[in-house]
Amino acid sequence: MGELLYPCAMSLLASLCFGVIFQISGKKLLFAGFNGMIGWLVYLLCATPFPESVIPRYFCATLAITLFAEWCARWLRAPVSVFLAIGLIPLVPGSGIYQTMLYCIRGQTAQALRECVGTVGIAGALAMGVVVVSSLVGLFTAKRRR
Amino acid sequence: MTASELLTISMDIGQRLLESGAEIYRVEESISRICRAYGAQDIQVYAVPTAIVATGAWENQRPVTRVVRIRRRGTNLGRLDQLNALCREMCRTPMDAGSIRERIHLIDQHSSFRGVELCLASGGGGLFFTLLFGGSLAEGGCAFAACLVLWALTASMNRIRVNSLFVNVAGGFWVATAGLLFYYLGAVAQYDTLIIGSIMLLVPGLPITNAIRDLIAGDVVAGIVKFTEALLVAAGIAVGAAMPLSLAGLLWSV
Repeated sequence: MGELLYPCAMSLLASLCFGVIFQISGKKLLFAGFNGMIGWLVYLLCATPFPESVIPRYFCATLAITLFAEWCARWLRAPVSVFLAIGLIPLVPGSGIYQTMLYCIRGQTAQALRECVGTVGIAGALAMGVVVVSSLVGLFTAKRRR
Repeated sequence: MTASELLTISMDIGQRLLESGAEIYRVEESISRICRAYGAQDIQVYAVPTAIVATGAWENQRPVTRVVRIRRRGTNLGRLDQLNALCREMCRTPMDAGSIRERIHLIDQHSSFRGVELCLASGGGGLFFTLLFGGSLAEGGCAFAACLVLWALTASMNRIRVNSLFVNVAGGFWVATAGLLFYYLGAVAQYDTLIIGSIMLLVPGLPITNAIRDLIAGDVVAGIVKFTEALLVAAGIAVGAAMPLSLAGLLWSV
């Protein structure tokens, strides 16, 4: 429990800081930051069912984030991006970009390529997660409106 | 409200939406909804990240067309939210041109957080991401300091309108330099985590998210433009950070 609490608190605080940078205020800021925490929590919890690869973990985390963002957007009457962008920020593969660059300048091309493919894979998992949930939510709400 | 006045106002709102980082479908839909709510018979809007084109037809009048060129885009989710709320309100209850202009002006002036708070938030972002990625408290502190300077650097460069690729190259350069500096001063045992944590401030999270959302919505041109932009930013950060690191590698062979 303790080892989950610390990263969750850190991702919550980091997401809140990003919310401030992007000028979100009040209740929306709180929920946007909370979304960042949800993403990281799901990412950590998915380590048990998917121990061998990180990509399904990123995918599951994105599913949770997008669902929560769509729900917040309807409940608080704000654009989805407000919650989605902040929620995804802790998952964006910044370290992948950095490691790729590092291996490149050290001339370790094979590792650089592996790191690069991993980064693109993570970005793809984030994209697919958003696509799946947004499309399903769109389908569901369109049907209900009709 | 005359036809051209209405089109001008709705495109002012659309322009601000796009400049704050809205998705393309939101911009197009906002403009056409406003125009329809105020009596347009037919309205066609085409928006890409760098321009908006709209033509409206009113009864017994020649169609009116306007083009707005978008020069500068950033991320301001608070403004995006307020503009969206104004747009909903305008469509629900009719307002006159003067009061709409006043509301737009108020939104332009309003910002929830100002300089110092933004600066601290950038520092905090660097600090908490470094801690999240397994950094020690000392590394977090160094990331905090590096990000305060990073914010001042990017804010002043944005004020004098340097192009965004160069801003990211400079940002990456500074972050890596700061990491190495703290490392050689003996403040931290390793510089990787601190650099990764600080780089998160520059990484294009929102452009990628938006590019994907545009692609799903069917705005393929806009999606590709934003995606290319995000790739350029990522490459810019990597190139910027590579310079001091490879220089250090040459000098001290770390």
